[in-house]
Amino acid sequence: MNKINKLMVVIDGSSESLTASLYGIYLSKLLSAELYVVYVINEKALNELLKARIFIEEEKIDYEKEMEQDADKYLHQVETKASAKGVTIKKIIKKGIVHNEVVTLSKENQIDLILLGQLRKIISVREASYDEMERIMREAPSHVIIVKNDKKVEMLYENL
Amino acid sequence: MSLLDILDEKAITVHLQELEKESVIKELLDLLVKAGKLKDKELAFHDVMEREKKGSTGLEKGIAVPHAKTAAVTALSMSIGISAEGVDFNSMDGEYSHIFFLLLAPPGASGPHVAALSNIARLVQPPLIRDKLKNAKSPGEVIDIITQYENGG
Repeated sequence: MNKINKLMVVIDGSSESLTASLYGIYLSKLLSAELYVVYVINEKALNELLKARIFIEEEKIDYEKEMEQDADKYLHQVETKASAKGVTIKKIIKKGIVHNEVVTLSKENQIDLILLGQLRKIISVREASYDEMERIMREAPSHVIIVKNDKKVEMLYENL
Repeated sequence: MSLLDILDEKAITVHLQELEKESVIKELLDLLVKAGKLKDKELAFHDVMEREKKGSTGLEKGIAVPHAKTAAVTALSMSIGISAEGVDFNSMDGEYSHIFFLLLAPPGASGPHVAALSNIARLVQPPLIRDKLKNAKSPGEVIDIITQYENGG
């Protein structure tokens, strides 16, 4: 029988992505689906800055460490929220090009549904073409849900 | 994120007055104070200079991108300064710097900080953009140039 077995939420520390994680917890409970929560450290941007010599090596290492700490912090936050509703999550930290890592993970783990936080209003064409969440939406092999309405999502989560 | 998110006309000047590196940095910080984005100029100056000591942020082709993580700001903040005469900023190619992007980020904002710096690196690649910025007549024109570039122009 076709069923949604595996969900994946992509978080980046934004409030929108954390709202998506609450919706992921809600769906996971509802559907008895496994919930993967992934944070990708944008190594491409760090390497670009090193190549452009805006960053020195020491700085790149320092920022990378801070981004790893951010990843741990946000994943722990989601884990706490999930645990409070009896949901276990699989935490994943990756480094690389954000959309590529997400698409690869989705294929490797046979993810049925990816959840992303609400996309920002586009204020420039160039920003849109570089936006990693937009690229996930276009390139992911699985369905993608864009989670909106944070108040409603919070209510769904609280009522679980 | 787009540079348009953090651009503020009050934090831009096309007539940088100072001609020495440290004074230019202070002048760029003054723009952020004027725009209401910086409360502790001394702390910000200290943090920017600590970064400069590790390696000059004077790049090639007249661009300089002084930056720092600092508790002196509560949000990602940027000022832009254009100097017609140019400043000896110990740049990589030994040339004077004319276009300055000062970027300050609070601790814990590495992701947006990196994104903003990446955007600046991309913005100043095309020679035409560098020429337009260097010859801009007003802060409004600087914003127009960046807006046009961000929208594919």
